[in-house]
Amino acid sequence: MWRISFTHLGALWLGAAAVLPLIIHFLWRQRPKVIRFPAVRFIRLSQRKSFRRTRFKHLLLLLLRMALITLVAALIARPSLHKGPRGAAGAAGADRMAAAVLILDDSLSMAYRAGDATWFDAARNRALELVAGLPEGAAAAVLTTSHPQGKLTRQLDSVANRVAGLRATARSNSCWRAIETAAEILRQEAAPRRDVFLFTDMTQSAWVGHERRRLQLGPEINLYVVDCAADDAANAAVYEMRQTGEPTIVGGMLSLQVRVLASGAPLKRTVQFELDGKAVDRRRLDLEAGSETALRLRALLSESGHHWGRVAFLNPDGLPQDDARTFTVEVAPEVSVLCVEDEPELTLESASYFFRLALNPWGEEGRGIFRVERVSPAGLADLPLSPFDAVALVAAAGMNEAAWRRLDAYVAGGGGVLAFLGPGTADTYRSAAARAVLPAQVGAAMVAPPESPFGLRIVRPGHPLVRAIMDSRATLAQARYRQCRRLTPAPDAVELMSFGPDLPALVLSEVGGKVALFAGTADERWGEFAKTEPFTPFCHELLLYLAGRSAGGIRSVPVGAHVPITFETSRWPTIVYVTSPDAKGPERLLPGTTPGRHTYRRADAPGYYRVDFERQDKEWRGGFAVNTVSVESRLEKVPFEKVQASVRAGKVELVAEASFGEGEIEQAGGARELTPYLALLALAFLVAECFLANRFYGAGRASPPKGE
Amino acid sequence: MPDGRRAKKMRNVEEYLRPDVIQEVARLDLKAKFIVEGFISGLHDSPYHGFSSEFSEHRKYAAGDEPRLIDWKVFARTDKYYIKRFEAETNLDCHILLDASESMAYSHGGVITKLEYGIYMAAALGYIMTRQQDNVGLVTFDDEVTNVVPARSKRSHLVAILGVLAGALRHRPSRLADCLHRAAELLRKRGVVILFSDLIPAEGEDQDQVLDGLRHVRYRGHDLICFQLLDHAELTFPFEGPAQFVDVESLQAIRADPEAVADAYRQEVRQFVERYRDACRSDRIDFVAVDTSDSFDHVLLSFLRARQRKF
Repeated sequence: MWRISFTHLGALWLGAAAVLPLIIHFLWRQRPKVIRFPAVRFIRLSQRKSFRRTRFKHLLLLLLRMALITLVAALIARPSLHKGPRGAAGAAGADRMAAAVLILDDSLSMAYRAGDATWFDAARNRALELVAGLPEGAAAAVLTTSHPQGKLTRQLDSVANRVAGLRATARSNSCWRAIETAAEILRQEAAPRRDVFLFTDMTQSAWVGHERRRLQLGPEINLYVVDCAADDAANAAVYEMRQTGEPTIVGGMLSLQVRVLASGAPLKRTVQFELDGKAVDRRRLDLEAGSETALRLRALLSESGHHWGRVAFLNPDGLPQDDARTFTVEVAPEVSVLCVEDEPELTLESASYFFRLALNPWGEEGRGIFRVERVSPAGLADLPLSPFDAVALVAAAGMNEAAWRRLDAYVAGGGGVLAFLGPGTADTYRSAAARAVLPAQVGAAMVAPPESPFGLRIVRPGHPLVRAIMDSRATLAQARYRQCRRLTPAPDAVELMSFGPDLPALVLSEVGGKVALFAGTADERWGEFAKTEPFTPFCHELLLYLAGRSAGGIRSVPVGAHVPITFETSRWPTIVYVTSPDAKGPERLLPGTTPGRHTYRRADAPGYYRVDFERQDKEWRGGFAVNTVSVESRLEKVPFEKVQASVRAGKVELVAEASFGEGEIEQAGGARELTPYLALLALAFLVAECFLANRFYGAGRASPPKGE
Repeated sequence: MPDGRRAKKMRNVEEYLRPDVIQEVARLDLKAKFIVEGFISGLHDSPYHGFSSEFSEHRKYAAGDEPRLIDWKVFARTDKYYIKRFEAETNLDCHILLDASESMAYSHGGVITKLEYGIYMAAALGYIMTRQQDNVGLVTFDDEVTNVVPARSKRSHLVAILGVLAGALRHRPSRLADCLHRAAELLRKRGVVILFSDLIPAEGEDQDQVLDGLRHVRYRGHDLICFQLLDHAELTFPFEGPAQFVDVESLQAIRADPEAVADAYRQEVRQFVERYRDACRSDRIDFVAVDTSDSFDHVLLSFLRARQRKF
């Protein structure tokens, strides 16, 4: 696309002077002089004949003069003609005729090894060839899909060095953001030719969401897609892994469902299931091309604590990073909960029915991670509380002072207490002994209007307990209460959830042990929350938090994620070491700004990352698993036409080799100085104006119609 | 005649043929005299001899001519016999028609108006006629015939003619065609009729009507010499800049861009003059278009041709 730029753009304002002839014309015609003349009849005849011609002459001369002034203004502005996009800068010299942004897809699929080199190696070599072919003075920038940032430079050696230093990552990155960034960079450049060269494998992961995406680069930026991958790549991957069954507890069975994928060609693979570095199971698989197979793997978890495992092929292929999936699991011992209620002998009619159901949905003794015992408030005084991880008061209206004192001592010893309120929990919960235990003062029952019951709202979303509840995918929006008790939080307590303004719903105190007070009931008397599905994870996470435990599901994070490493704070500093899969030794992490939390930012390789905690008084071990993103294992290519339909640019082409031919640049991007042409044109206009003016008004005066 | 003497001392006599020079002379009779003398002075180098009271012209000697009239000086130079012709040998009736309308009073630049040009020519011709014993008469007109001076040959008659000429202008519009018809009726005796006019038809007239008037004069048996006097500006239209033109007779105004209409105007004037020329040629009328910036001998020479054609 041809465009004109001006060296002195402001001079174009001089073009406004083009109206001067018009103004002069109108001013001039206002002052006719009176001439007495005997031959007026000839003037009248002449004027009748020459009226149209005169008007045409006037108009022609007027336009010529206006055009002449405009041309002079344009001449002063020094125009240049370019082929290429519109840039921010006005002048584009010969040294600014081209700008190119090279994008290298460094996602995991580009690490596929075909023969001696990976696809990324091929892409890098082509990019280097392109950089070598860039004309002198051209600007270039290098982006990767994992790190789509960069700026244009005319030092092509540094560009080549940057390209040569690139490596494929195990991350999953689509090309969209990098292309957008490249276009943004080029929009700031004044070069007439602006191209984006994308070196990719055209796999699914590179163009995720191409069906719904519409990318506008603009008509002045060209996109050249260089396909660096082979069409017949065969790859098998441990594609997906998820836990089936309940959370893991000591003595429980870990059940995993693993999906194995084969793309490109039929493959034979041996899959091995390992737990804590020991092989647990091994399977042989015959995989059809383009097929997926599901495996069910089980392992007995006989010890509590941190475990890790993986499912891996014994015979790796061209993309070994996705041949294994790793996981970690925290195996918890049973959480003992003492449920205190007024009538513990009742079953279905008891106030704790829904609470107990939430802790053990199966209703089977010994199943699940919670073991619940029931006791009345009167029996609380005689029962030793140390075997219990948490005590739950479920609308226990019969709490007496002795019971509160027991609880006070229990909390002081680090025990966790959860209290649900109810209709009878008024007086006994306001006593001094109760206030010593509870994190809030219990007030009167509040009744919600029938048309707008109380809803549960999160007040402190950053609190670990709230975060745990949110992570459990509990939809608290379903919680509705017709009544609740007004709570007045103690100074050392925090309000985590509320039913509305000045109506705290969940108040937590963490002085000594952890005590949580919920303003609603654990049954259906004041609301339906206990009968809804989110009540189960709500109770689970609440009790796990109060008991100082974590859930026992398998966990892993994708490659490239920032992994939070949390630990209990103490008066002693905690030193955290991380040992990555390929590292020779552990790496000590620097403390973060949040106490009890470090963030590991270099989870760039799939595998198991061991975490060692070291403190003055104890040492313990944890870890996390990092896996590749599943879509990177799919090596089927996206048809270029679909990509082309998603991108609006000057030119979108799929090319085998990237080139930046000089002839093409000359043709497409050469800047032409327009000043000489405009000067000639202005001269022609001037001559035409003089000639016509002389011809129109000056000729014939010396040729009177004399007779003889 | 102190003015005349001073003028003669200061200038060559032929210079008085120039309109701008003759304006320096105050008295009309002197103007006529100087024009004629300047004209005669210039004639010595021309083939037209015939306007001199003492010497008219040479012609070849023929049998029966008196030998005393032979010009021996010519014989000595050419070895041929020529005789001198003195004085007028014929009595010519010459009537001068002068258009004295307002349009004739126009002058661009103020050197000499068309009417002044015509008056000087009429006076000069009257001067010549009376010196050759020809009868000279004068008719002036504007929108009507205002003065009729019968043709006489006495020298004192010239005074009467000059007096009429001096007071000819009445600043009235013209009715040229009507006046020509009226003059044709007035001039009964055949002779030479000399018309000085710009021939621009009056408001309500057209060129054909004027031509009809000229033909009327011609058909009465007169030899008509028609001098169309036009100012130089009327021919060249030298005006510039937007202007409002006011007709000197009808006072009608028209706004025009002179540069724009100049070409068309000149074309119109050219056609206007050519139409007169063609029509006069077909009616055997001598037509002479005169630019008032031209010298007077142009007019006098034309008269000379016409007179020779007649006699």
